[in-house]
Amino acid sequence: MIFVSQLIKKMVLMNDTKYAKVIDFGLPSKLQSPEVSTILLKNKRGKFAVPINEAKYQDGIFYLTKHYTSIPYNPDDFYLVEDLLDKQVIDITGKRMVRVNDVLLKENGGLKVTGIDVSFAGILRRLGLGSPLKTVTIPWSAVEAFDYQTGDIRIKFGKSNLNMLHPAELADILEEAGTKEREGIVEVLDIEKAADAIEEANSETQEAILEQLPSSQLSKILEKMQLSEIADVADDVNPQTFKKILKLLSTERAKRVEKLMLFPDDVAGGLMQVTFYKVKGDRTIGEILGELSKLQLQPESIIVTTYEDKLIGQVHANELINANPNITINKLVTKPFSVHKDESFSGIFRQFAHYNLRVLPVVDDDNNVIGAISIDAVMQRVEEEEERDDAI
Amino acid sequence: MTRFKQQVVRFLPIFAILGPGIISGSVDNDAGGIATYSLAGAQFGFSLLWVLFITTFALAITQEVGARMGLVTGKGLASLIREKFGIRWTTFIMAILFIANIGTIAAEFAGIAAAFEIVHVSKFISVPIALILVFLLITKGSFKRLEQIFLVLSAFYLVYIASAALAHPQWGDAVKSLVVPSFHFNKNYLLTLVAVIGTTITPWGQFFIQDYVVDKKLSKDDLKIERGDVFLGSFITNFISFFIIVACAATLFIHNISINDAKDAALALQPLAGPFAAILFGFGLLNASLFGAALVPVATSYVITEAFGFESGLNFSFKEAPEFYGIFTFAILSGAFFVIIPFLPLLSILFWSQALDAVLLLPILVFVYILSNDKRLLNGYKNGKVINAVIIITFLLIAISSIAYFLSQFIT
Repeated sequence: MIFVSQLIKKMVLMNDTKYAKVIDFGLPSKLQSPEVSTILLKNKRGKFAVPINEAKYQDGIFYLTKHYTSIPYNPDDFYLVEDLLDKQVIDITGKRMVRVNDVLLKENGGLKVTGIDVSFAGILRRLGLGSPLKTVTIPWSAVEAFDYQTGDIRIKFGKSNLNMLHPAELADILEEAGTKEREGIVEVLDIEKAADAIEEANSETQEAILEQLPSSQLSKILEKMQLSEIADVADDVNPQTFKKILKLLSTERAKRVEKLMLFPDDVAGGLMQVTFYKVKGDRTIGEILGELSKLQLQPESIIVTTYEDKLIGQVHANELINANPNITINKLVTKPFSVHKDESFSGIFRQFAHYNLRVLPVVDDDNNVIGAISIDAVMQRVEEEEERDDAI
Repeated sequence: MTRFKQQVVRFLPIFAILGPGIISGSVDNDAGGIATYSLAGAQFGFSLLWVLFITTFALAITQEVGARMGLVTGKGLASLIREKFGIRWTTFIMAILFIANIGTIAAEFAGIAAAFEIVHVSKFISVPIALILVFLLITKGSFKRLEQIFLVLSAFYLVYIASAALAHPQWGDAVKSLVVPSFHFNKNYLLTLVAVIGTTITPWGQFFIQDYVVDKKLSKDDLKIERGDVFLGSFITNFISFFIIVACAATLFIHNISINDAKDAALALQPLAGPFAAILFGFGLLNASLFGAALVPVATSYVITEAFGFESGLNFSFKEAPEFYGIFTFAILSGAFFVIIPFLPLLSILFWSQALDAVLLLPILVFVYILSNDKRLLNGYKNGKVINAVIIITFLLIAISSIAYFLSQFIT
C-alpha cells in the first residue's frame, strides 16, 4: 500500500544519475482498468510520459531504463494528480460529498489503484504533517464515472460491490460518509451485512444510523444485531429513538436488552452476548452435531451446563468432530473457566490472554450461565480504548 | 387581478436573480464600512473620494468575475482553488481568509458594542448578549427571513443622503474630488486609503458572491441579469459611501472635529436628525453589525468546509457536521474576544480590520486573476482586457499604498 502523494516529486534515476522527477501517473483511457499504465515525468527539457514498466520503483526511487519509449500525451488518458486528486466526490444522486485527499495504490509488480482517501488524515499527510487519525478509503470499485466537464468524480455504491466488502471496511465508509450517503449505503446492503457493519462502526456512527433509519428497515436490521450491541448503542441514542428501538424488537428481545442495559459497559455483564449455544452435559456428541447442522449453527465453542443451568465448562467445536459420537459432552469439557458478571474488563482480558480463549462464559452469583463474551467483543473494546487514547 | 399576476410572474425571475450582488454590496457598508468612511470624511474631507470612484469599478468588476466563474463552472471559489492548485495553496488561502474574516467579525461585534455605548451600555454586557443572539440567529432563524429584514432595514443609509444635503456641502468640490486624484504622503492618509479599499472589496465578499450564485443554481443564461445585479449592487454601495464621506466632511471635517467614538461619528447625522442623531446612528450601526455578524461566520464555514470536503449546511445537526458548526462557533468567539479586550478602542478594531482585509485580499486577487483567465475552465467566458486591467490596477493600488504606508513609518 502506498499513496500517490508519497510518490509525487520522487527522483527518477537513469544510470545512477538524476534524470527527472515524477509528476503524475496515467491510467488507460476511459478508465478501462485500475492498472497504472504510464508515468509522467518532468526534467529541464519538459514533461514526457513513459510506460510504467520502464520505470522500476524501488525504495523510494524510480529507475528509468536507458532507451525508454516516450509516449505522446493523450488527453483521453486519466491522470491521477491532474484528474483525480482534490476533485469532488459526489454520489449518484448528485449531492456534494467529500474530496479526494489522496489516492491509494498497490504495488503488484506494477502499480494498481485500489482506492481514494477521503479522510482528514489524507489532508494532513499531503501537508507533510504526521497524522494520528485513521485513513478512510473508498474502494476504487465504487468509482462509477468521471465527469470530464465538471471534473467531478461520481461514485456509486452499487449493491454488488458494497456487499463484497468486509463489515469492518463498510464500517469505515459509514463513519466517513455524509448523513444522506449513509442512508443510501445501508439501504443497498444485505440486512445481515448491514447489521455486521453497524456493529463494527464507532458509537457516533451507530447512533446516527439508528436515529435515521426508517422503522421498517430498522426492525429488520435490529433482528440481526447482537443484543449486547443494541444495548450498548441504546445507552447513547436519544430517548425517543431508544423507545422506537425497543418497540421494534420482539418483547422477549426487548426485555433482554433492557436487562443488559442495567450492566455498566465495562464489566462482564455489559460486554457479554446473551444469544449463544449451550447444551446440557448429558447430551451425546452425535445428538449435538445433528442439532447444530439442523439449525445451521457454527458456534466456535459450546457451553455445557447442568440441568439447573449451572456452568460445567466449554468444549471447542473442533473437538466435537473428532470425538466418539456416542459419549456425552461433559466427558470432553476441558476448560472450566468463567467470569462473574461484575468482573472488570482487565480481569476478563487477563483470562482471555492467559488461557488463550475464544469464548468465555459469564455467570451470576449462583454460577448460573447468563451470557458469553467472545474474543471479538474483547478486541473491539481494546480498539475503542486505543482510539480514545489517541484522541487524547 | 389576472393581469397583475401575469405581471408578477413575468418579473419573478428577475426578483429571484436580483439579490446576491445587492446583498454582498450592502454588507460592505457594515460596521467597518461606516467607521472607515466616517473617519475618511472627518479626517480628510473630500480628498479620498477619488479612491471611492476607483473602488466602485473595482468592486463591480471583482464581483462580476466571481459571479461569472460561479455561473459558468457551477463551483465556488474555494472549490476551484482546491481543484486547480491542490491542498497546500488551498490551506494557505483558507488560513488567510479565516484571519481576514475573524477581523471582519471582530469589526461587526465592535460595531454592536459601539452602538450600545451610545446608550451607555458597557461592551462587557453588550458583546456577550450579542454573541448569544448571533448564535441563535444563525442556528434558529431562517436565512431567507433574515436576508429580507436586513435589506429593508439597510434603507437606513438613505438618511446619510438627506443629512449630507442638509449640511450644504460644496457639491462642486465633492464631484471634482471624485475624479481628480489627490495624494498625500502622510501616514494616516495612506492607512485610511488602504482601509477604504479594504472595506469595499473584501476577501469574504469575493467568496460569497460566487457561492451565492452557485447555491441559487443559476446558469450561464442568467449571466446578463446577474451582471446587472452586481453592477447595481456595487453602484448603490458606493453611492451611499459617497454620501457618508460627504456628510462627515461637511459636518466634522470643516469644524475640525475628530472622531473618537460612535457618538462623534453620529454628529454627521445632526443636520437631519438633530438631537436624535446619535440614536439614529446607533440603530443603523446595530442593524448592519448584527447582520454582518451573523452572515460572515456562516459564509466562512461554508467556504472552508467546501475546500476541505466536510459536510456543511445548517440543515445538518452539530453531530452530523461538526466541522461546519465548529468553524463558525470558533470564528464568532474569536471575533468577540478581540472586542472585549479592555484597552483596545472599538474604533481601532473597526478601522484596522478593514486595512487588514485589503492586504489579505492581495493573494486572493492573484488566484482570482489566474482562475478567471483559465481558458480550459471558462471556455468562452474568460476575462476580457478591461476586466484584467481593473483587477491589476486594484491589486497595484492596494499593494503600493500598503507599502507606502509601511515605508512612511520609517520616514516620519
